[in-house]
Amino acid sequence: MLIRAWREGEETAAAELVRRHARALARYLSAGGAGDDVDDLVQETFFRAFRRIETFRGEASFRGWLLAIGSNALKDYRRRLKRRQVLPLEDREIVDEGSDPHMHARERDLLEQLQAGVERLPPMQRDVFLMRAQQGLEYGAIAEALETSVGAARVHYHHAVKRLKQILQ
Amino acid sequence: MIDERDLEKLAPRLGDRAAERIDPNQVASDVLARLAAEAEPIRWWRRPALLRIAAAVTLVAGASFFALRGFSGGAGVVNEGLPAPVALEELGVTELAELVDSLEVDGPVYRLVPASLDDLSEQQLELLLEEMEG
Repeated sequence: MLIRAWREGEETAAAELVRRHARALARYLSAGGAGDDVDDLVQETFFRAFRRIETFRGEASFRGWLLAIGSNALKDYRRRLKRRQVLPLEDREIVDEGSDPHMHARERDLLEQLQAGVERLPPMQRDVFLMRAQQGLEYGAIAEALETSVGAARVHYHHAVKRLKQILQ
Repeated sequence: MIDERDLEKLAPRLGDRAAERIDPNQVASDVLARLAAEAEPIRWWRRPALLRIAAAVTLVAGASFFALRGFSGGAGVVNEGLPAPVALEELGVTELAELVDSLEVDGPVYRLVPASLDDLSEQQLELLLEEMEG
């Protein structure tokens, strides 16, 4: 409904779509390694999405489609970052310690390790893992968003989990 | 020892801080501003209807001027391209354009002057409307 309204040029529909999906997208991009540039990447993702809204097929999950566009924006960002200065992963502030004073040290440590591990995953495994475990999308929606089969999405998820377990041990 | 369930429990918390920090209203307004800025210059140039109207108005205005000057004998120039006064009304857009071009080259006394819709006859207005409808 909102997508159709935006296609017909209704700006309030676009604003509502941003309000509904911006936080989830920010979470996804941050987990994928967007660092301090999350805000810019969220904006870039919506910009790209709205420019080619006509390519969105109504029956697919808008969230999945948006995350896939975000994933591409993140890849471009990483490429640009590589050309500039690259901070070693260990030196980056992965989880803000001040974000939750009650968080147990063990949990915080695990989250930091998980974040680092997710960033080390191959792109497809990372996308599938985050879409499934973080965003709660069904395999069908993931497969459609990433233009792969449901079976392949399951395999990527399985490999991602296996790898993350190794990293976190 | 971390298992799959632990991972699935932890994963939704990744990026919590980024999600809290983002201002969706600000993002929406920035995105819409970027889209508008990008679309603005394109919209005008790519509107075929506007271009067609502009072309039709120019042609009709030019043709009416030449018709008035030529047929009233004001400039004393014989228009060899026009067999009869009525013929002008029967010309298509391309023919009118060719006619205007040829007059511009051969007869320096003729010039295109600005004209408004008020200057056009009923027939010329009809022709203009037909052209606008394609």
